[in-house]
Amino acid sequence: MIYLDNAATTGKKPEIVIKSVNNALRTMSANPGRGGHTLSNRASEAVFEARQKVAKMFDADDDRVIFTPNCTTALNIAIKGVINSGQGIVISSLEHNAVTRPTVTVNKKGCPVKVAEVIFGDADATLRSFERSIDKNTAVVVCTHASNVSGEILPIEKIGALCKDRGITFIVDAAQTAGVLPISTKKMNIDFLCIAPHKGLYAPMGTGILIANSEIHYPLIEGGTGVNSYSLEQPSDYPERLESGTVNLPGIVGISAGIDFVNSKGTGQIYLSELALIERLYNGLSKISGVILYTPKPQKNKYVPLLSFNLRSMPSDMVAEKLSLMGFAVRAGLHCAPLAHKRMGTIDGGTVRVSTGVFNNINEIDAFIRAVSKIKK
Amino acid sequence: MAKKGGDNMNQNFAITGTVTYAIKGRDALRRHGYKAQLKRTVNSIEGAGCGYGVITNCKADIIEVIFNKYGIKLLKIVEHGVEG
Repeated sequence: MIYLDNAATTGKKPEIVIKSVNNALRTMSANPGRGGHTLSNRASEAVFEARQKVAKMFDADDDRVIFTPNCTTALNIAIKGVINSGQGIVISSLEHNAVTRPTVTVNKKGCPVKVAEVIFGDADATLRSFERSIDKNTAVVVCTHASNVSGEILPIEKIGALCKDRGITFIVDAAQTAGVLPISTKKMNIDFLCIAPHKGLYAPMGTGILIANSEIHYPLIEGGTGVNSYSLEQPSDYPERLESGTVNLPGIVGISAGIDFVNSKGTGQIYLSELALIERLYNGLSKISGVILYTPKPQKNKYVPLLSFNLRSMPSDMVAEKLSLMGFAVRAGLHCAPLAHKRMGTIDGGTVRVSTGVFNNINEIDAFIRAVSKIKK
Repeated sequence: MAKKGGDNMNQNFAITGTVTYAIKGRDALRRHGYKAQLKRTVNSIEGAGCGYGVITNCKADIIEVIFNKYGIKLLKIVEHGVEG
């Protein structure tokens, strides 16, 4: 199987991640931050080490690194945890359902929601769109760093500056970019950064990270934290305030190893090599008649390494099914992002999405192009 | 290299509450040349319940300065053996 569904999760995990997860289960299988025995302390140390690595990579304070079950949970904690009834929220027109669905819920609780149109290929126009959508009632802006459908990178540094200027909480969905593009939560004025480490950081599935630079007023999950147990109220100290229940120790150790892996390759280098494969794919597909491409040729710093396409003569899910039978893993349909498909004009049937990872190579891309050409015939 | 504070390891117990602060506190004390070890505190804080802290040979007033420097929350300092 040639795996080209890395935007869903990086399919092949580095050996260092696999070994680290295995080692965690063998040598520190205890509850971190709970017991006082050697194994528990060893587990606590491993979790703290991971926090430090995440904090360094995303320019944040280590006690503000929260480990969650996935990026969706991180987004829910942030969105539902900061907004009060009556306050307004602005989201982009490329958001994933991980953002839109919690937003619909807060809307039902009396929070008006506005959608800022993303203008493809024009970051300044997109910024102006956010400026127009924000009003005096806006308390929160939620924005994806890059679309999981079109691959377009949004100008989050500029939007972050705008939010800071207006005193608005800024939440960023970095599911497609963390580990792929450099992110500084401080320079970009990000209050809450939501990360899918099982994607660009090559960690195991079932892991997520929330970097909470600002206060969460209403924790989504409350319960045991291993400290302050007499109190019936949730503690105010971070990260424990947002980490009730046993954390995913093997997964967190996997995140730690994944960061080491990405750092050893260099974030920029991984991005460039993956993007080069997408450019090659774009060139190849654009020569096949009947292939519909929805973006200009992906360029550095404008797109993350993924590409959506369709065949004029066949629904996207049928194309993906045929490709699967030929040994290729891709994702078809709406990619849990109906807003983005509506914006792209592909809401009826979606697209076939190809997304590269660090382990893909030119031969695999060429084989994929040949396979699409064969299906087309 | 000789550690600051002499050989008396069990001088003070700096109670932080969370294990995150305890590890950060331990590392900060070690960076300043003191001996420091992570320790679980059970019911050591009246009315608060479980938590973590650092056993160290550092004097109480210096612990406060170091923790303050690194933004580490400190709940209380007790002589080790009296509480915890």
